[in-house]
Amino acid sequence: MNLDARTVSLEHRLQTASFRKLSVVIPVYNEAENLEPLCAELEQAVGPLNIESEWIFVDDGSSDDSVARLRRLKHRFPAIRIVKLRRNFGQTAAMQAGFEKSAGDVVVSMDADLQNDPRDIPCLLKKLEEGYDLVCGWRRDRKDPWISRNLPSKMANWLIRRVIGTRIHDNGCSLKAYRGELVRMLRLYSDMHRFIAAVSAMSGARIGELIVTHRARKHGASKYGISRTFKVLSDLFALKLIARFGSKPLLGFFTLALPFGLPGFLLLRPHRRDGHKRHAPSAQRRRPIDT
Amino acid sequence: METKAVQALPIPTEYEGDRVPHISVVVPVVERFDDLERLYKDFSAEISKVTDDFEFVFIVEPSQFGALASLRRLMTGEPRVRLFRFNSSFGEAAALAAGLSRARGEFIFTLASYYQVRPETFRQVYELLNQNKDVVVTRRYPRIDSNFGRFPSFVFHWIASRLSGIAFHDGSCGFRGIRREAARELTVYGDLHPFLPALANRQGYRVVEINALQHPLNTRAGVRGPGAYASRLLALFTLFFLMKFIKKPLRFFGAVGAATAFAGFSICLYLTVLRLFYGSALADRPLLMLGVLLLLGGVQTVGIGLIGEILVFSHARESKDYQIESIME
Repeated sequence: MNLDARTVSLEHRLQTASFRKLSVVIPVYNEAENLEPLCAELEQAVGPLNIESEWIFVDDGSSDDSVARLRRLKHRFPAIRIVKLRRNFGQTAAMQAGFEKSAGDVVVSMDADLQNDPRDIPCLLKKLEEGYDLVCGWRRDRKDPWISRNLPSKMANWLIRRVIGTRIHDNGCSLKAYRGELVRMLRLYSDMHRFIAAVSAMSGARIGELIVTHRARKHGASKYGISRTFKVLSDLFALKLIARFGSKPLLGFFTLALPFGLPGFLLLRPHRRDGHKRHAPSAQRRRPIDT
Repeated sequence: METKAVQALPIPTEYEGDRVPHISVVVPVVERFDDLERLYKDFSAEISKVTDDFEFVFIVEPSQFGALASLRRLMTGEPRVRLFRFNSSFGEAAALAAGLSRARGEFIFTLASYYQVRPETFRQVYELLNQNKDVVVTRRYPRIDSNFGRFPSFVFHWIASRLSGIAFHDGSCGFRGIRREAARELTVYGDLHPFLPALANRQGYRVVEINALQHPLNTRAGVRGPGAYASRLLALFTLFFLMKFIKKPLRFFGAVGAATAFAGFSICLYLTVLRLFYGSALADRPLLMLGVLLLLGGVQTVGIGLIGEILVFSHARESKDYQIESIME
């Protein structure tokens, strides 16, 4: 995301013309087992839509045979496009790579682990046509371990809602639908994938939400743990300050300095009232405090 | 007074245009040099066993202009030698970067300007580059020079390997092989040239280290003053920051700054309680000074992190977080 993006208005917000091309962006990291069922489901869900589609699988340096399997699947599903990264760069970078290679005027991002249901894609598109720039999935009934995944996620989402002010319940859900223009404007880096809704809102996008199905993991292992708490907090703090002060840093640092500067300034008042005697040594001034 | 940073002497005409040699050898002449004519002869003889299609690129710093005479002699009979002169001393990393960006070969080798490894090493490195490796670095092993002073180097490389997640043992060994695509993408600056394998690995290139036989004349112990160790330490810190926080400065400065400010705040709070409720005097307590110092220092550090964060954010469009290996349409 760039700061000047904020001034770009999304002109066709009011247009409800249906979309011409759909790009599905799917970051893949060691998901070999899940790829075939995913493609089959995608075909089922997207096929009847009567819209040209491409499925961009971004291989984020998998160490299993994900890429080989995708190559084989490509014969059956010609919509597949494979972008192979040199090594593991992380989910955000993989998504950004996919976004940059996408050509659709509507882009859907989702996980490769089958926890998202491709059957939600048509609903997302429909919602997008109502005039939104970004529609976020909301996994209301999450099928993940409560303590290690759901609870931290709930707390993080509550915090993001409070701090950034976007009314999105589930920032961590990868299943999202974007207008192409928004995707070309986004510039994700580091661990920004959690804050897509927030940075989109900063650039003036209209954001909708839709409840999506969430399924338990069948194959492979989850790539997340609880260790992210500090990172999320730090990123959130940074994003909030950038959103408020990014284009006027002096105001930000002035606000930051105020609690230090103001009391200091107030303490500058003359120490004693008998003005002309101020410099004379005074017994009273040397008096210990506790008498 | 010369105005250009790098001034090129006449480039041999055979190589002008689109013609690309198979192999380029970049020789930064910065710290010291041995007999460059002999170095050239030894290595070009070895390279000739593979191909005659090569070029040598010498980058010379003003402090080493003593080398120019022999290089000019070399150039008269050899169109395959190119010479660049720095007009000021920018250091080894800068010379290396200048050489890498000017080398035109498909495989680019870097070579120290003094004897480090035996010329036969070329063959090993060349073979590995042919086997799809992107960056091949060498380690002089077993060492034939004195072990004196090797301990700091050992510690240095151990830390650097741990930080970067890739094991390498001889960052100052100048003989490396790099594919052109990798050479174009790698940014070497400051004192970071010993970390070239780590930087390449971070970009996702395939990096290997091989053992190379040390040149019999490589016996002069590296002379390093305390200043060199200090700069190496700083370089380590730079590497640490590059590897972990380059895109997230606030995670580093925020953690350090918040911890410092919190300590300062606790001290000040404690002193405030003492002053208000127990009536003890503050003026003669050094703890007050410490508390204020920590508090201010901490807030400043967080502020630096924020500035970094704003910079990263507003330059996000120009930077690239990933490297694509291939696209299958």
